[in-house]
Amino acid sequence: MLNVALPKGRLGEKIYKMLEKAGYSCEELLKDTRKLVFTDEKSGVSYFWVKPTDVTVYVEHGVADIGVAGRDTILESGADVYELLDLKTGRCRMCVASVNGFREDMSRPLRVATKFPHVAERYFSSRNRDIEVIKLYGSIELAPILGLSDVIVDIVETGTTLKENNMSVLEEIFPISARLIANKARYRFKKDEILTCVERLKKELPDD
Amino acid sequence: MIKDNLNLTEEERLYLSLKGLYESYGYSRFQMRRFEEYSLYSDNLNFLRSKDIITFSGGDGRLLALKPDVTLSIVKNCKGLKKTRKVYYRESVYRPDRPGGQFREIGQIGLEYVGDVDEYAQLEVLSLAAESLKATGGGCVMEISHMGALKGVANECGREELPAEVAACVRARNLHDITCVCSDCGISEEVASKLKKLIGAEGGANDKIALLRSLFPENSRCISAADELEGALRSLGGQAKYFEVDFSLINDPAYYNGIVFQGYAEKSPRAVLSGGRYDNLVKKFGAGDGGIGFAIYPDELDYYTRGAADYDADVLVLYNKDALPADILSAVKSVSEGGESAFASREIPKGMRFKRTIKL
Repeated sequence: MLNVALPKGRLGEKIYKMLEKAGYSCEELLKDTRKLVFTDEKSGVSYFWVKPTDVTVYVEHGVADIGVAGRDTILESGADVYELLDLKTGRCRMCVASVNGFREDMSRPLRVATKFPHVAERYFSSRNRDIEVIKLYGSIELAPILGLSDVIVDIVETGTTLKENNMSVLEEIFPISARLIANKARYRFKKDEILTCVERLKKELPDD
Repeated sequence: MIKDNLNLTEEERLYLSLKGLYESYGYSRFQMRRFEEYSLYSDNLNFLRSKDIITFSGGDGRLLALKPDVTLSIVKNCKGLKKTRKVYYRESVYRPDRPGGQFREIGQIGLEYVGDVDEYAQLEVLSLAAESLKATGGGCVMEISHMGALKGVANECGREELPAEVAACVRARNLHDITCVCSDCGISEEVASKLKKLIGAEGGANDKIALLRSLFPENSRCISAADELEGALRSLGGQAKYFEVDFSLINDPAYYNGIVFQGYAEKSPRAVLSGGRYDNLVKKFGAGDGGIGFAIYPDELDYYTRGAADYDADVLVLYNKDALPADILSAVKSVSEGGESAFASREIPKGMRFKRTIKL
């Protein structure tokens, strides 16, 4: 039995469709129910929906053998997991952005508003740029508009929100997509099941 | 055999069985203070699993640290000794359980072989590591690799070590990003593709070792890594079944130079044992020519396997106010001597559970 942590929301549902096509169906999963764990003995799989940022936690602690998380979540959490497959879905970019016309003052630390403090710190430290991180939980774009920060480090999908708020991307840090991750110990003991799942999913990946 | 009625924790049981094992191979117990001078760690930060250290000032103004690691203290202790040391330990280390996490006191049991480490010494440590992992109970697998393999790959592109970004892909078995990351780091497509094949290889130990040889036939580092791994696994005989060659296993190359290994137990989601050959560290301290050792983390096992006890004690000895203290003591003694635990109380304690009750 494979225990799979799926991220709640549209991305998770899309991933489940891929898993379903790959032979890991579980009829109950998409029903409107308050259940948290869904098991399908026939498919040999047990799913649970978790908050997207918690997927790495469930996998790293071995409660889930495998899970699906965005590259942003994996890099921010620093989870010690195997990253077995790029699912080529949920694509976007981690970017530095600010209001149009922003000019950087190099004489003081850069104030960076973000939901991803570790990603921001690593990126700017690789460039020897001193920063002050302002951790926010939402509406990140508001920070430079109201003067709370100089720039933001955030996920950019289409760029429409930035455009509508007179902002633009200054630098791209890394591309993002959903990844299939596995617990390192569970991988050792359920290798055949996990590798079969990887191979089947490879056939369901969207074209590049 | 350890008596069951001692009610030992998993860690205590494991320690008692490993203590006997290590002593029977000529290892002696090494005990140390809980703190060291901070400079020992600040000078060797990359050797540590975490760079977060608890520091405090000593009476004479020296900066001290609660030890985050045991091996460094042992190697430092061997400095200048012109003989081989074989020691085992059971110590606590103080470090966050993960980067940026809360500090924890983490128990470790381990052994170190420092000084003149020949092929036999390496085999002995590998064999004891396998026995130690087996002693944790249940299914277990030991990953094994050789630092020379990836060092050889780095040499193929004119480097001493793989860039950190590439090493991160290797550790995560991230085969989908590795080509792109290698290209960003200036590693040729040919080497990147061979590295990808090596990391992604499945199959038995012999297949993976043969693959290393066939991918890098002219690379002396890769070939000698393959020879050493093959020789060690052959000499391990029946114990080789616990080992699985995996070239995605890397430790810090500044300290580790030869065989490295990491053990997983079925009941724990993280590695419960890790170790390897650290000649570079030993040479840095002038403690001899070589070193090999491993540590086992019983907390990882205890945390995931320990269930809450069903009862607070086996027997509740319930006495009334007229009962004589000597009679109560005698009842408790008799229960205890019978191999059960007793809890004497004048009234039924709230929230506690017992298998049975004796009324006095």
